[in-house]
Amino acid sequence: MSIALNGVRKAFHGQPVLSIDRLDIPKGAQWIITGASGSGKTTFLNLVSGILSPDAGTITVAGTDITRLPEASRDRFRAEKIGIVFQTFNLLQGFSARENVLLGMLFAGHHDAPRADALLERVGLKDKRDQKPDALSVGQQQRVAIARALANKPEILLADEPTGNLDPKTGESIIGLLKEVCGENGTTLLCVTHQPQVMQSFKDVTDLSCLSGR
Amino acid sequence: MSLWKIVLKNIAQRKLSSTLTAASIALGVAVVVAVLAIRAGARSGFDQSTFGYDLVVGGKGSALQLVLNTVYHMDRSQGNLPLERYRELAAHKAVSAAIPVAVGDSYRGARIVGTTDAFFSAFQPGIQGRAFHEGAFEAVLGSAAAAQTGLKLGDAFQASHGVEAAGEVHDERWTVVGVMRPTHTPNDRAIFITLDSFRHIKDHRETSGLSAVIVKTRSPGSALQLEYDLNQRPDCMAANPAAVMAEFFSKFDWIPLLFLAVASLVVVMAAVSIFVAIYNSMSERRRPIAIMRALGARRATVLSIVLMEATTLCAFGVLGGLLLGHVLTAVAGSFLTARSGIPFSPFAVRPEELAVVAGVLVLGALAGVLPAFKAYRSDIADGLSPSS
Repeated sequence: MSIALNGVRKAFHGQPVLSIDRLDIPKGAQWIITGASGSGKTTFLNLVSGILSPDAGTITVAGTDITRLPEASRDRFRAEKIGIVFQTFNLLQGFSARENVLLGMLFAGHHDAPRADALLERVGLKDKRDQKPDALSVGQQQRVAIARALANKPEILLADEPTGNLDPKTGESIIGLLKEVCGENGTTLLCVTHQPQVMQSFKDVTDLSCLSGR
Repeated sequence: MSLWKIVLKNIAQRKLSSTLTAASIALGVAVVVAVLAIRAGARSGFDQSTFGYDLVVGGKGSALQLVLNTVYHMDRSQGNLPLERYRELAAHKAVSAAIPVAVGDSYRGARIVGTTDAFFSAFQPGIQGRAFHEGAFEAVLGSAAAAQTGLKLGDAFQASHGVEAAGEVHDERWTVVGVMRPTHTPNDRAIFITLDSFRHIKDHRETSGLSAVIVKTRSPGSALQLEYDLNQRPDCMAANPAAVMAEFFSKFDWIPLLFLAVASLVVVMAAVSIFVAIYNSMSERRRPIAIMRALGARRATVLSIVLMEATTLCAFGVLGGLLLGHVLTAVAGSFLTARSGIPFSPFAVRPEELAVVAGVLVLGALAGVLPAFKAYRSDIADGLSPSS
């Protein structure tokens, strides 16, 4: 298994947000995580990436129970094993496309400029590597974010509404790119979305509302 | 990509704020450096040990005036010393050299000193040309005096009576036979003529005494005893130039301290402005910090970035301050050298400066502690939420 959740519970200010008795996601899977608003989609990704800790239960990612890791080790684990693509891209302004990708490597403790260039070429931005985010279109910014997420050859790529800020055509190409690059590397892809057209392009769709029984 | 690159980009993104903050640090450091350098330069310049004068003997009056007039060619002569005292000193067993000095004339602002070749024998200054011959109307110029008056070897000049305002021009003419190489002492600003020719001037013929006698003794102990003995006499006084100048400076110690206090205040205010600038920027940095944390940056890493930023900003200010401080020292030093002949080394780095650099950098780092702690405590999920 790539990801396994057992008896996971998470509440904010006493309000239960997520409750998953058991969820196993195989290695290399490409899954859509969906659910009604407030069903805990983003919380689910934050738990799997180790950004949040569950109130109860275990989360095993790539063979490691991340709920047992101290915070600094979880940070390192996230840098090395998990790539994240956000709805709002979350590129650092003032840094070029190339520097944003290299930043993804920095916290995993390495610097590989040729790989950064190769990744940008792979996402179709060979000629844009020295451009800063404000000089790129939203679609190009999301491509940079994908290249950054792949910087450390992650075992798992988490995408939180990756097409939420894109027009349908650009969104389609971004989803296609995500599926392609993850497929090439055997990377597990979990894509949170509520957009039907995105869901249609995936075989496996998990509804957190059903899973949590809410 | 490195943490330093992130730090420099953060600083560059707030150009105006960063520049003003670094400039205020630079201003404070520059004043501290300049005050330290000028104080040290003035002290070492006035340090009599570099001159080789053990005692200065003159008529009764102020020890400070005697030293300033005889050694630094400043102020006025305070009266005559009987010639017998000079003869007595020259023959004294504890004295290795007694150099008579007669002053009161000048040429184009350069003071004229009547003396004997004992001056050149005792202090061995390098001379382009030669020393004067006793009894001749000949002159040897200090290097700065040569530049100031425009006189060259072989030129002739007429002295004026008085040292501060051009007075009556004497009839006698002196020929320049030598120019001293720079000695980095006030003697560079003086013109030395033979004592005989000085006393030959019509206005000076009725004056029987000397302005002062410079004394070199055979041992420090004998200088102390001689000073004591001479000060018991009713018609003369002796002063140790080093002791007189040390006492003089001790009266003005509060001035550099006042400057240092003001400059320290400027540096502290600049450190506060670093704190304010970084602290105020923390709300707009919530998202970048959260992004870095989501990418795997540890809390300690973002803490380091903010601390490095505060320290780097401070380091820029310190570097600018060191440069500006030494330029200020060079400007002030050249003015003081022109006025007093005291040499300055404006670009010499003093140990106190290293302490200032270390102190200001620590202050800068401290200014970053609270914002850094705020970054340390920031929550990733909150920082990434759309409202952030």
